[in-house]
Amino acid sequence: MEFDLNKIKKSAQEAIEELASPEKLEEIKIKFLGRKSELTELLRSLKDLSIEERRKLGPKLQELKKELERSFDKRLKDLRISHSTLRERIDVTKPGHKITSGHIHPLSKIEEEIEQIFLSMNFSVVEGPEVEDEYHNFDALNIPKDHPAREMWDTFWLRQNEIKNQKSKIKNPEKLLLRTHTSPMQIRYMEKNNPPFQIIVPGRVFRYEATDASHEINFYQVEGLMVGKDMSLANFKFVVEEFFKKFFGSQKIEFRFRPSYFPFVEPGVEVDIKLGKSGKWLEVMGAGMVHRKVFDAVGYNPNDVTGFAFGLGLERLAMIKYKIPDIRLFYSGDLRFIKQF
Amino acid sequence: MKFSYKLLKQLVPQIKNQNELVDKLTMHAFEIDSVKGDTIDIKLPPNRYSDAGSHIGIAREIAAISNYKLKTKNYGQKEKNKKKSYFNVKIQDKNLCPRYTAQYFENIKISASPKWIQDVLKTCGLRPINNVVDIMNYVMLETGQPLHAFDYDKLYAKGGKQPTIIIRKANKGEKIISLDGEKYNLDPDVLVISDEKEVLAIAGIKGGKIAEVDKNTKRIIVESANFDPVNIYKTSKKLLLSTDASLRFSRNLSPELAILGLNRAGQLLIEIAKASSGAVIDVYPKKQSKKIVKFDTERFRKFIGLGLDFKTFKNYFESLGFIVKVPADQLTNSPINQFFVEVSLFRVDIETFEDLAEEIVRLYGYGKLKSVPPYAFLKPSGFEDQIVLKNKIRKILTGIGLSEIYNYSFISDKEGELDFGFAKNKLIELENPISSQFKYLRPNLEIGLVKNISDNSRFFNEVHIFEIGKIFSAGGGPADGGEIGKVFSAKGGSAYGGQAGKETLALGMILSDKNQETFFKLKGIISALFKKIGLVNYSFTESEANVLLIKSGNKFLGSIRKKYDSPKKQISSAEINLDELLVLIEGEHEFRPLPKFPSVMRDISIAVLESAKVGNIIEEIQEANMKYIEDVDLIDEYDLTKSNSSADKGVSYTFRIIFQAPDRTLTDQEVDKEMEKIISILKNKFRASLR
Repeated sequence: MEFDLNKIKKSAQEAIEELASPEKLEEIKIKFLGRKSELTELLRSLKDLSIEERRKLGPKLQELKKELERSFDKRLKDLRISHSTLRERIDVTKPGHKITSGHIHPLSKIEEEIEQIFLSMNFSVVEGPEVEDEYHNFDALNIPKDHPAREMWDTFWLRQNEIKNQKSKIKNPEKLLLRTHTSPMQIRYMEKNNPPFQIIVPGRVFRYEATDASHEINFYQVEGLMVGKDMSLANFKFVVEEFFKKFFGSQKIEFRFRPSYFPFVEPGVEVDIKLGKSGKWLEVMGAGMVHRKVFDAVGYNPNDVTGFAFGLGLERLAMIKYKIPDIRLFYSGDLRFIKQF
Repeated sequence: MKFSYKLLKQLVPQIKNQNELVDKLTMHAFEIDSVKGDTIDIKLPPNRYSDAGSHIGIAREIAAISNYKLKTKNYGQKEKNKKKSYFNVKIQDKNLCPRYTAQYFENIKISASPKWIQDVLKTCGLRPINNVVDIMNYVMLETGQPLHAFDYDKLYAKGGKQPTIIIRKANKGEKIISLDGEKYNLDPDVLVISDEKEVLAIAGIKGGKIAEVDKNTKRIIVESANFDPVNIYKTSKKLLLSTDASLRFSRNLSPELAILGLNRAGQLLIEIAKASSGAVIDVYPKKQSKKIVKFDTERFRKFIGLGLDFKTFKNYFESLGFIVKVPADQLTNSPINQFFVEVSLFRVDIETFEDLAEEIVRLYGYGKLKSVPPYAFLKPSGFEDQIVLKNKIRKILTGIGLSEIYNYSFISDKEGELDFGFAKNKLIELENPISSQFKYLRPNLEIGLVKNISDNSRFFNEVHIFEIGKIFSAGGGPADGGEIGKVFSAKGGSAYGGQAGKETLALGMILSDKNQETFFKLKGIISALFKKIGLVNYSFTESEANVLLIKSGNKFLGSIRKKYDSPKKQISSAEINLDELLVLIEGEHEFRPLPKFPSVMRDISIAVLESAKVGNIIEEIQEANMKYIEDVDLIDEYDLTKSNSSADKGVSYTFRIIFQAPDRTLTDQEVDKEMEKIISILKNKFRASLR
């Protein structure tokens, strides 16, 4: 009997070990523990034994039965787990799908960043026309005709055909041009609004000049204008410093303000910045206090209001921020460039 | 403008080195373009030529900035007794020549000029010629006043009398051969210097060959005059003749410089060319008046944001050679907060309080100025609607997978001549294009986007891009002038064939795919875009082959067109007028209650001739019952000519129709009835057969 028990135990355990699927395990379980199994037969035959033998053998048989049941259950559980995970498991190391999403042009991105910063300082954002007249682009900004100051802005002029059969012919018809800066919007805005106000004007401007890595025939500017009572140059300094600090975020930034000349401001200044440890001053903004002749042109009283104006180049800031070496990339239409943003 | 460091150092010996000079000028006066050897190239603003377009001027600046001493020279000539003048001066046009000073010199020995003069000339980019010419140029560099020397013996002397220098407008048809041998035709807008016979020089611009100083010259007249800047500027532009003299005169020089220049030239001629002089002639019909500007320290504090005391102001102004005058009633005030400043006559740029304020703050240093937050009038800030729309479109389209492009605002002559669906006379042309590549303003965005496709197709199988930008065309209405904005035409009626120009904000999109249909993808994108930006009321209408017009009422919003269709590649593009669109956008739409009852879905397959338009069929189905038909969609199509049965003709379409009633569940009978109605309509209108 002893021998039988050991044999049963051994062969059952071997069978359990070898099994690979839960279904097969059920079959084997029936074979070893089912009603017709050897063990059941032995248990059933206990009643034919003497009390003494029964006492001796009974507990052993019961114990074996329990042991085998435990082994089967454990094995079944293991098999079920490994079996199901094998079937459902994915190879998470495979590459993700390529999701096609579009890219916003870096200049649009920079423009919006700038707008958001100024918006947070209570500036409004307005735009103006790209085709301008001489008056708004030059005269009203204290850049008179036949003055060499105009040479600071190389201009594209539009070809215009004069109307012939017109009686009320004006001697010197005004000429149309592509705006050379966003500053004419200073005039247009002030013609229609009263101070106090603070605005920025992003927009495309044009220069008649040879293109190279830092010059383009069309590019973007952002004009700023803040007018009110007792607006000061010290206020201007505060606003632009806040702007640049926010724009360049965590980078260490130093400022340099130095004299400059634009006919529509007095005093006129140039703003340079130095980023991180680069050690190079970068010219980033022309600015100044709005000239009294500009206020005169829009019908403000220059003794009542003061204000400051500034202009910055979008491409220039984008080039500094993203380390882009050539301005012409912005207008190349090259998706290998655009898709980096 | 080029300057000699050596000469500046002579004028202000306290300057330590070039770096100090460059740094101080940069931070307190002018931008420095470059430094090369002895040459310092200074970017001089056009309004500072009078006082700072000279070594003395720059020396004065650096002395004022650093509180250094300016080693001034005494330029006065010692007038011995009464001298003879040897010639007369007659100014005919006083407006164009506010001052004319000149002097006769004889016993000139023409030779090379001394090295120190030649060195300064070379440093400043001028070529030494001979002592007389070099002295003229040197004095210009030192004082800022252009000078000219005429050979006295070459002047016409009427009847043996002493010659007369006449400053007048040129006569029609007059000509001059310049010192370089170039011929110029003159007209009455040009101011000239002449004797009683012919033109000797174009005033303030260039001398003529006739009275040229040459190696045999013995007697000369030195001219040191002042001319009207606008006239010089215009003449220089018209004759395409730009000289050192014209550059300076057109930037408005003070007439006070004239005598300074003449005296300095006289000094050097006597000293170097061993000349002896005649009397100084000074005709000064339009004497420059004293310029006195009121200054208010409190106003300065408010304007600049910096408080300084009277003594500081006074020191700064005096360092610039200005005179501070305190009115009697202020003398008892402590502190003095109002006074007058008499500005140096060389400073033609200073007219107002703000000009004086700039002088103070730049000498003080912008860097030392504290940043002060402004008191601002708080009002809601925001973006113009147009900007909001642009930003929205950018976000929606990039979300759908399109990338944004920026193209040039110009197209080439070739592109302008190709037929892009617009008439050539509607193009806006540049008067001065930079090249034939950029001759016209772009009439649409498509031209640029099509080019982007071909440029990018080397690297990408699919190119899905868009651009938002201004486009330009003639035809904005009659050119009656004045208004710029969406419509532009200038006062005085300049136009494009009698029409104004139009500037329009447009959205261009283009899809290029390999082996994939693009037109309906684009149409779908546009529908999705319109839905998201809140455009409800619009329709698609077929116009010519492969072109779909987008309209709202009778407003034309744009179009979608199939550009290119081959098995390999398919290109479709669309262009939308955002100015028109902006007006039509309805903004926020209200919530629509969710349907309370289930909808019923039915499919119907019909065969129709190829000429039947799906758009029309869907429209007819929809109109069969506006109340219950919620949606109609094309879900399948099949070209019957490709089927095996030769009896089949035309196309088979399957439509899915969704029925929905707001107040109940529609019964099968009701829907069946509607379907019958639809079938009979389709049979009637499209000769459709059920399949």
